[in-house]
Amino acid sequence: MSDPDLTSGRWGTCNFDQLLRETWDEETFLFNPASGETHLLNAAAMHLLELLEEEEASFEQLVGRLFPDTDKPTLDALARQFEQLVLTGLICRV
Amino acid sequence: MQSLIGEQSTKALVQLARHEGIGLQTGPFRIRIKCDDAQAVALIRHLYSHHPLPDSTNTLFDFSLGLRRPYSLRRWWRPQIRLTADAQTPFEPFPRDHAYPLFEWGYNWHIAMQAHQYLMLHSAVVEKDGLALIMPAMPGSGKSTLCAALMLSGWRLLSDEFGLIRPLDPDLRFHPMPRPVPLKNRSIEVIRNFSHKTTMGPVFPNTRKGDVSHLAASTNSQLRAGETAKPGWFLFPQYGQGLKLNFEALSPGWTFLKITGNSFNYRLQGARGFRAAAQLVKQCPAYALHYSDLDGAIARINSTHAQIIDQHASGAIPRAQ
Repeated sequence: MSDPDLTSGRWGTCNFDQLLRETWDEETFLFNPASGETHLLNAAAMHLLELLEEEEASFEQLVGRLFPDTDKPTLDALARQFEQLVLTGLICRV
Repeated sequence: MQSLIGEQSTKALVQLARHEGIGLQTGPFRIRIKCDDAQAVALIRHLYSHHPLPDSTNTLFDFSLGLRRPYSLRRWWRPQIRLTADAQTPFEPFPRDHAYPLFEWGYNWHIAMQAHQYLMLHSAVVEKDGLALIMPAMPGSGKSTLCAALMLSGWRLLSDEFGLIRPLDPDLRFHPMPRPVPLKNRSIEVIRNFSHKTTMGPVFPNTRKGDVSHLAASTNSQLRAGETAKPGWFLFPQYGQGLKLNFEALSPGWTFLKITGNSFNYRLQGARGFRAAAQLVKQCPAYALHYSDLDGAIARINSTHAQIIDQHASGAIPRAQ
């Protein structure tokens, strides 16, 4: 995993209900009024965000829900995507 | 009724520009121009001839532009011209004989910096039968050439540079600003050969954008500068020598990314900009056009426009909400 910080604590969405959303095909555009930024998420990232909106979770719990028998490359890709969502302020520690 | 710029003599306008300033109304904007370069004033008269001339002593202007020769050695030796935009000097001085292109760039700069009551797409916009065709600018795409050719083929020019919509307008109608189209390098000859009905200024060689010549907006476009247009469709043109005509539909997501990324002030608009851009994308189908032959490209655009008008009329395309 590229960021050891992901392994500790629980995560949830930040102001998810305030985000403006437009979905076309597999892509979702999110406007975050808190940051003024517009983000483009693929279907996997959006699914991850929706799972965290349903229920806060640790990174390991999230991986368990999404890919119970995942291999390392998939896990690394998921971690990178998770980090991106943290950096953009769409996911935060709870 | 306001008089038009072209109804004034050049001599009278040169005097006015030296003292009170010329009032110029282009679409929703009223600007005042103070200028001590007679050649630039004569060109403004030539290229904006059907624009209203507001009374410069009794009008509230949106902004002021000044074009003055400096009070220094450069007033006479390798003479220069300096642009002021309200109290700012956004550009370095230009050679004096490039005063007119400097005026046009200063005008663009002022709008891009100040007109945030609009969501400003970096696009050419033309209109026919009440429906706007929006052509977002990609560097080197040949947008200005195609825009000029469409105008010379009967389309109304709203703008070569700014797609202006009020983000809180439920219909998101495009506001015209039919200023001259700056043609660059080879496009100058292409458009001269395309039509003999053009009103053009001189060629300014070796500007920061190469050789530039300005094509006046058609009389129809200038006289109808108060008429907004309903958004119709997006076209992303790409000119290339020898390219075979190719026309293909684009996804809404790609279109959203391009128009917001290319806007002058999308980020500044916040949530209302996001909503307006998304509504435009839902309402307007988008296509890419690769072409080398102007006549073929225009024929394809005309036939697609007719189909899109039918789709809008039949309700196949969602209306603004």
